[in-house]
Amino acid sequence: MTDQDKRLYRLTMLDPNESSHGADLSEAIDFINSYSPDTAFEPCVHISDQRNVTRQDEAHSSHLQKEILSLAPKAADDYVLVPKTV
Amino acid sequence: MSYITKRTITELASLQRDGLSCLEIAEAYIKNAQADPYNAYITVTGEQALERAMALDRIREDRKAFPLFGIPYAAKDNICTKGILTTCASKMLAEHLPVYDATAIRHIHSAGGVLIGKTNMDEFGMGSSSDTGYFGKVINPFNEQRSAGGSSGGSAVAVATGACAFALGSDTGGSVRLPAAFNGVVGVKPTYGRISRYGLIAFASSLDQIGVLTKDVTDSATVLEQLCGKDAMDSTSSEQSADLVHALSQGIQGMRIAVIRELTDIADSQTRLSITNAAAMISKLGGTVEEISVPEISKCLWAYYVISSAEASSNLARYDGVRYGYSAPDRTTLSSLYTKSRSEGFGTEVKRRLLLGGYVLSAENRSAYYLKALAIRNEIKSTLSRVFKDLDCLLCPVSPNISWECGFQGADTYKNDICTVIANITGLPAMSLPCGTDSNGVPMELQLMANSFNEQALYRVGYALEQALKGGTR
Repeated sequence: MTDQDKRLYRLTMLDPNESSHGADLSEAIDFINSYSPDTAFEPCVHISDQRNVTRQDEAHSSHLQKEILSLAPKAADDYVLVPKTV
Repeated sequence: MSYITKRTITELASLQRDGLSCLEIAEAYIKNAQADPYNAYITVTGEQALERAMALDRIREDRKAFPLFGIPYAAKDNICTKGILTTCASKMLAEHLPVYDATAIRHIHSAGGVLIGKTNMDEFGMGSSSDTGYFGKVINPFNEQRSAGGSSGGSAVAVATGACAFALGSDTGGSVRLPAAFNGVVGVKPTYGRISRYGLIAFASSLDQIGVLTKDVTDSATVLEQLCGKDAMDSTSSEQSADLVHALSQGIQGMRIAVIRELTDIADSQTRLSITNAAAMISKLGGTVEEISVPEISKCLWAYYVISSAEASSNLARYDGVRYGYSAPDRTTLSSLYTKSRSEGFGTEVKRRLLLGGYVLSAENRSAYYLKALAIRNEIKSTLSRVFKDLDCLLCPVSPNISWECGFQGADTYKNDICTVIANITGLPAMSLPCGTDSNGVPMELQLMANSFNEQALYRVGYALEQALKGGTR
């Protein structure tokens, strides 16, 4: 696991025992590297036997915009606010 | 009050017929939930629950239309409840008030249930001991030196200690069945698709399933029947009906059950003995028991940790400090807002799984890990489909060991999930069923697994064993 990977997942380690946390992560990676099973099967994405689950596309409003915006740490008018990017 | 809080749902309904009010029932359970010496609850909805109970008392003449009329229940804190804190036991969602109810919550409400609180858990469901959460660990009421099991530890302890009549949990790799086992209650993870996942905060979407924790098998069937059904908000939900309570009394004459050799071989001696005893009871009750070998099962754990971590890293990418959840005070740049909010908002175990997920999904590792795990999933599903052509149920331990000592954390605990992840990888239904206690008074359980959408088989065998154990048929 490189620092670049950690940046990709937007995570830094803040645990005061960062080195032991790093060791734990290595342990988890070692865990999945300790065994490399073989199989002749193809990957299976859906475990459900249901296929082509579709429904009529109907427009309707859930009237939740205000409530959802109220959850945002910073919002104004109809938008959530983020730090300036340009 | 214990004459109320020790009762099953069936017994509470009988007490109601004798004149006990919903308010009296709610007050008794809320008192226990508020006392909560085991840290089972994150939120207790005292006032709201009492108001709901009083409202139900006013419509008492219609109670037959409500199978859970006035029954106090708790929901794991990753199941959305409108206007009630839903934290996933994470700093990230410590102040999160959902704007809608999960479908499961709506179903229980329609059946007359009274929500009395939200239960403690491992953060985002990632753990097997209910000790990774932001609000502290759940304590095992039988022995505080031992783990309460996880991740639905709060739900299991609340049921076991009379702090609710039943509870909802979620099961991604055994998170309903393991804590049920460690606390001596019945835990059921139904078939993937049985219960809508709408409003269940996602950990690993192809593995997650809402489950039920109850005092006995009859209560479990009663509650699960209310939760099943197609939901327009979850395209993976199934239309198949579930006639469970009716199936309980059908007996197990002629049913074919098999013990999985690979799982009993790794279990401790007391767990092996309980499986042997259960097998003898099944034979005595008219079922047949054989031993089978399923060597593919050894691949399950590896596939589970690859798939669950990969899906978690994708699902939890949404927590960025912008739209909801914890937002770091430093908003200097958008990039630092993302990184600081995630780094400060998530706990250690969640970060470990997210990074592990990132590792197995990275361009150079994807086919060696993620795609291979999906192929193994296909192999195991195909193997078990073949097995169930000749069988009704599988019998195995819930965990290779009786509840372990506290403080056992990280990758060391992953190996103990070997018996439970099978049902999640394949989407099959499974039940953990109490079968007495060990010489130290610690609960012991066994696990039953059935074919997709054949929960009836689980409940028939589970009920027959429960009755036999009560009658001392051992």
